[in-house]
Amino acid sequence: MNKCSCRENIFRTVNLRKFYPQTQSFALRDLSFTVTKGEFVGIKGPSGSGKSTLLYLLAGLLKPTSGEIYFQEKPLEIVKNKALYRRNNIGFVFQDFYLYPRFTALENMLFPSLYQFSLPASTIKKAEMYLEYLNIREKINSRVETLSAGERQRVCIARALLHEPQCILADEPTGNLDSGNAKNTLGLLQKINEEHKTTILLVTHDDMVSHYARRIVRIIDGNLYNG
Amino acid sequence: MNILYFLVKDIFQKKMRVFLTICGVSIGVSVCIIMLGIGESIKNSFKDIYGKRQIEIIIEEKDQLSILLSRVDAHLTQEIQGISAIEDASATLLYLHKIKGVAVPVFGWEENSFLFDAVELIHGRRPALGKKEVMVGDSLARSLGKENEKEIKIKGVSFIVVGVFKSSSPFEQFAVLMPLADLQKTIHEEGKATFINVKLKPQYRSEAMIESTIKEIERLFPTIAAMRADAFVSEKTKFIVMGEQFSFLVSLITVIAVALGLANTMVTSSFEKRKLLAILLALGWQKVEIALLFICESLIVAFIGGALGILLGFKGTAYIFGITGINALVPTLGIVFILKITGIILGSAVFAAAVPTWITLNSNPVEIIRSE
Repeated sequence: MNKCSCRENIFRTVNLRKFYPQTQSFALRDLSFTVTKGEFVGIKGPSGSGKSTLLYLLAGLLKPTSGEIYFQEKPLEIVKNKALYRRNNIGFVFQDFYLYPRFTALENMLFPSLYQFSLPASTIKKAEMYLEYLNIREKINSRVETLSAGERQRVCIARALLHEPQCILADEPTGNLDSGNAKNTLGLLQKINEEHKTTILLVTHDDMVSHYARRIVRIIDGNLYNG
Repeated sequence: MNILYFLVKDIFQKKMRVFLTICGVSIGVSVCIIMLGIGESIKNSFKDIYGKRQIEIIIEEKDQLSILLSRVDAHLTQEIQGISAIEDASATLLYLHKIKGVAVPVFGWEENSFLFDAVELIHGRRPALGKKEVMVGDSLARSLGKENEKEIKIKGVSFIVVGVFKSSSPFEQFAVLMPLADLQKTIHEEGKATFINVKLKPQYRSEAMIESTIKEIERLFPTIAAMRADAFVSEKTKFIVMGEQFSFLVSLITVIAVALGLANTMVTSSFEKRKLLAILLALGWQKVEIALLFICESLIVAFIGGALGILLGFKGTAYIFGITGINALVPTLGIVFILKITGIILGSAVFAAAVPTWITLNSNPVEIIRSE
């Protein structure tokens, strides 16, 4: 691999293995995989195939049993503060949204940024801007419990975008959505990928993803297959 | 926009639970204040009497267990004043009299006694010798009410209230003052005093000089006992110290119950929010920040409950003093006491937050996220 292509890699895994002692099973087996900056990669596969495990390993939430993970060609193993690594580089979108139902859309977006105790007006403006970008500006002060599933997922995406991550890891973001909302969500992620050049790794069962992602990989029984 | 806004909004989502927790904290804190405050108030009251007047030595009857039964010759004051280290000495006759069903201390002080220096006349004048006149403390005057404020009957003798004074000692605030000779005559204890207050010259106020003066007094007057004022307070308030130890034990149990109640709320809250906390970890929150979140949440509940508890505690202490025969004492809880209580509240809050923090810090966010 030449120097130039290395610089473009955002994630690279080498012989990555993850063994779960509780179930005595391998979630991933010698997985070697590269994601370049600005890619939109769809990761498909049956339940329990190791798709989500890969996302959590890349996010530093799980430790690999063996093998290496590189983020921008820097071994993730040597990153001491994984929380700061996630805060500065990763945005997460979840299937179950995980929003405070009685808080407004804006408050839900801002809450994860409150590790700094007080938020500057510029962050609030940015949050409003992203809600506008995701076409839910009019719901800014609506309680999340009053929003539809599609709108909630957009709040979740807006929350992930707020700290302008280099990469969004989306774990089954369309899993709880009907086909119309699933299309909208995938379309928005594609738009973010194209307009913001944000790298997106999206784990899904949804076949629709092949229309939006630039590359599709499949994980079956912990092994990775292209296409 | 700041974290407090979110925390307060989040806490008050569960109105009933937060209400019950705040009630629990405030009742616990008020119990602590009442239990510890009674002893503290009485001790402060005694300390004030001597401390403010720079009284270093108290003279009482030798081997007499109760201060109320102590009798010394009041004329000894003149002889004691002859000792070179002594600046002033003043005899006090103390008698407890029932007014409106409550024990009120009646002090007999010598005319021109330095004891008068620590009381401020706020109304009227000092009582004159032989005129059957008294002055009363501000708190007693208020408790007597307008209709009774003109006259007090002691041992069947009517005394006219000619003045109202204010004292830094709550014990005196609820007392009656009259000339020593008048009280002696009224209670048929002519020439007697309960104790003698001794003030040393400034250059003799060191520990060593106080001790040597005590020895000299006892050598010159073998029938009396002289002791340091602080030791006198400690000895005469032994029952308070014993009570305080008991109060401390009860307060400790109460504090533990409060902290456990608060911890229970925090643990429930953390279990309800464990998914969201796992998400925060996934979104880049550090564990220490999660811990701070819990501590802030716990502190908010403890602060509201604690503030209410302090208020209830003060009112409760005053009420208890009011309904018992010792309402000569009103609560005087100083800033140090309040700081102690605040420390207990904050400590409980941090303890309560420690439990969910420990649970969160030892949880795997991926397992939590995947658990549903």
